[in-house]
Amino acid sequence: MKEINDPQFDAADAILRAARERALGARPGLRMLAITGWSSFLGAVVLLAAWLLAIPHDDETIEFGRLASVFIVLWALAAVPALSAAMLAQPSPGAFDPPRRRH
Amino acid sequence: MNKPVSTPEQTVTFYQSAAKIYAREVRGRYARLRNIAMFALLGFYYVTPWLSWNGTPFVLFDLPHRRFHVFGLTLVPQDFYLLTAMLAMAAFTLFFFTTVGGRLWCGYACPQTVWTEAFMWIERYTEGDRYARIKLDRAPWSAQKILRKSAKHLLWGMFALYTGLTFVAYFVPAPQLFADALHFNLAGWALFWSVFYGFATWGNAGFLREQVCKYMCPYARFQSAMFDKDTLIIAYDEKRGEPRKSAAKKEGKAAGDCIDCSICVQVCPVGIDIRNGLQYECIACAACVDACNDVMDSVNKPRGLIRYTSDHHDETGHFHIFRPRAIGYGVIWLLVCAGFGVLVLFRSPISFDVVRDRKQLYREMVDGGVENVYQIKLSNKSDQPHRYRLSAVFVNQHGEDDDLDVSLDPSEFDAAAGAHESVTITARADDPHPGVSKLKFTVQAVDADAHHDDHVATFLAPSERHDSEHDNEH
Ligand code: SF4
Ligand code: SF4
Repeated sequence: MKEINDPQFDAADAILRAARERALGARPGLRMLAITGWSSFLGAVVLLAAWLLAIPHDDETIEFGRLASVFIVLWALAAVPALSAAMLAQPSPGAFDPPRRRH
Repeated sequence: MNKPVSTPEQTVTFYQSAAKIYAREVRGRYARLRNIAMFALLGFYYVTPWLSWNGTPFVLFDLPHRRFHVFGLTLVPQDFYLLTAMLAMAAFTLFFFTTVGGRLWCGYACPQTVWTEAFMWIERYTEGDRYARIKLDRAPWSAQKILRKSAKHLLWGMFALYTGLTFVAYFVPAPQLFADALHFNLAGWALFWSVFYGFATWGNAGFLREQVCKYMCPYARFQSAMFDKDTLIIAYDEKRGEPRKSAAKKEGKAAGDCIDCSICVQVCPVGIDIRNGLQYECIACAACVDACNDVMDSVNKPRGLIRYTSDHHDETGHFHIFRPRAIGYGVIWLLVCAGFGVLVLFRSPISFDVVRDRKQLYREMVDGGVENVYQIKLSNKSDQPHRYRLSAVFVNQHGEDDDLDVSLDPSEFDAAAGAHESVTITARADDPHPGVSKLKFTVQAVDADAHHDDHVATFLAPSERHDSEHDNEH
């Protein structure tokens, strides 16, 4: 191992804190967008394969432009359940507060 | 190896502004394995679109024509079940190896890991090691900083763009795509997807890195469902390591083997401390194993303070590979692989169907013959054009030849590679059975023995035969 050790940079807790606070770690909104965007993208890829192979297309050649529009529609459709699941998985503010007495 | 004597408070202030992971370079057995995996997988990815098999691309997803060429197999929409079986096989391969070997996929083979590793190489080459990178980021802008950062982004950009072009080469033949790119003729969707995929590579491997594994990847979350007490994990041997040297000194106790150098944390690409126990963020890259082994060598202690182990191994000292869950996944995996093999082996290179023309029942001819009209539907799933010969025989209810003459017109036709042909034919019998009988059609490629299939259809004739002076259409 040739690298220099500099105590100023090497404390474990500082490295852990930096990793925790980096990018999506400190931005819950962006994190949810990234999660739903990526999950629904994967879903749309599988759906596109199913659309291409399982649905009859009367032998026509499918243009890339049409493929792209179908893909965008499928992505938007897949984003709906993904976003709903991500939002429902977030605890609502005060969800874990002790119950309040009604007057 | 210098011994760290840090005061954590100093470093916290320093790092709070940086919020970046500067993974330290690591050498060792597992780093070598990761490099081998990286070269093999990147090589496979970049070379495959250029390979062909009997004039057909080795792998090409021809979306406009809905023909997927995969390792010498050409899949058409009728082979949807094969694609499903292939995906099931890939999934069970992953499940089986995850149950036995833990996050092997994440640590050695996932594209996110492989490309991040390649991008980190470029980063080290242009900006230097961990310490140099931290210093460079903290330094004010200077000619040297601009030069180093520009070199890094230029190399990243070129590598990412080449990756994007190669990705598109899985959908558009590579020679044509790269010729267009070299002559700056790339346009439309090919250009869009090359740039889009290149940009995604640049962002994922250059910037997001561990964020994809920690927050975005669905597989990272659900694979723990496949873990059991015998699954291979990477863990710190707490019994041997604790109390760490610094804590032991403060408490006046005898120190464990961990000298608290934090090298295992510095090399970790996801920025966790494996000494805090197994964490879902750990991608099992084994960088900390190599790093700690190196430290143990330098302080003359036995290796393996951080090592591959399992919960069961920790308790008993034995690895238990053959257990119900692993056997279950293994059996299902083998069955799916065998099923896929059988499907491929017995897959017909054509799909053949015969549909009777419903507009008319039959035609009685002047000479007493009877004609029925059929629609022949044939898909040539192969990559070569073929000429097909049609024949037909009447069969009884046991499927045996009835020895009655029947002729077809036309009896031969052509089908281009991958084409779906629909041909109208007339079947003529001079002396058919009255009423309903069964006619077995056989199609055979003139130039390929294996390309044949048959289909039984209904042949209709008048229930009572009579001599007619004119053609009767019914
Ligand atoms: S576990 Fe090994 S590498 Fe990590 S701090 Fe202890 S001695 Fe250093
Ligand atoms: S803890 Fe070790 S094995 Fe896990 S990601 Fe970090 S370096 Fe890799």
